[in-house]
Amino acid sequence: MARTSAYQLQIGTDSDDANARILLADGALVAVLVELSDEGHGEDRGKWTIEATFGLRHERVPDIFPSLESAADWVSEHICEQRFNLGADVVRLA
Amino acid sequence: MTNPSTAKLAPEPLGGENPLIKKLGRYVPLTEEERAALNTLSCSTRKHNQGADLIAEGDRPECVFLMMEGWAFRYKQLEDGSRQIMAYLIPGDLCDIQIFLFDKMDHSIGLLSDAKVVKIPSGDLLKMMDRYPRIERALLWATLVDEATLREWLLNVGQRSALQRLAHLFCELCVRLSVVGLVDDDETFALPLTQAELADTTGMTAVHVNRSLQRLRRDKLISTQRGKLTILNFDRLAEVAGFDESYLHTDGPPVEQKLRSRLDRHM
Repeated sequence: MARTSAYQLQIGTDSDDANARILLADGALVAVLVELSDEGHGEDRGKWTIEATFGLRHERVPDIFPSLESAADWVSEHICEQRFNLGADVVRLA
Repeated sequence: MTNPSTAKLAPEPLGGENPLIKKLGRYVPLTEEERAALNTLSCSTRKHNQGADLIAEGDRPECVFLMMEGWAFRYKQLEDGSRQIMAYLIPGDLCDIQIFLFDKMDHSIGLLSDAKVVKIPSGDLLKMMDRYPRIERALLWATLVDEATLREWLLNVGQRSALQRLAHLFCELCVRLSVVGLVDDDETFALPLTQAELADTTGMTAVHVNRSLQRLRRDKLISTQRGKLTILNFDRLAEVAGFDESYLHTDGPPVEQKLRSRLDRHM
């Protein structure tokens, strides 16, 4: 089983989508998740996207997830087979 | 057969004229007889609805499709539903004039909007090309331009940045649509594409397309309104994209350019 951890940080996307989480499994970065905050996203505002994945082999990554938890669950299911704790343990990097 | 150097050229295209004639007329100056032949070829249009496939991968191609109104697209799809769009077909475009040489389609052609399409039996097209060698040359020219466009799209997806991919696509569409008279004076044209379709064309996610469109809008390069796109500053957009329209060869073959200028002098 992978040891997972999550960090909160700001990300530069050339838009107002700045609130991000990076997910690590056994100390290695596996995914970057970003909240869709820019008003250009219309009704998708507040939902989350998986901006980047590392180590994913086959799957097509869905574009948009209804919540941070559902995006992280997708990463668990397809990359590291271990759930992420996204609550109080998340370390703020910025 | 009419000798093109002595034949009377038909008047300049009027609005609403057959887009195939407008397009081929850019490649070769067409005589009235040639225009009439092209009009006959494209007279029986049929309406099709957005979302329908004109022909699907695996089907046997028995005719050539000519777009008279609306947009179509070529695409291939993976088992997981991922799709790559390889071309947009706009009014005046023919889908593969020699496709009948294949026994099965290796890709699908679907409709991005409601459309009017002519199904031309391959035999009719071959007969026309035999009878009118200059039309044949213009059609082969159009085919070569389609291939050049595909090369440019490959370069787009493989090497250009997200912003450049969209900027390049919009510049190209503006040039192609203006050939068939579908761009307004203020460089506004109908763009019947969703962000998901733009994503499948440019190899980006829909989220990334959305952000890039926002950037182009913020930089006052484009504006969008209900299915229409306006290029606010073509030169700057082309500069961002690294767009050079020479691959679209809109001036026609050198021999025809010479003929055209000779005819212009005598008219």
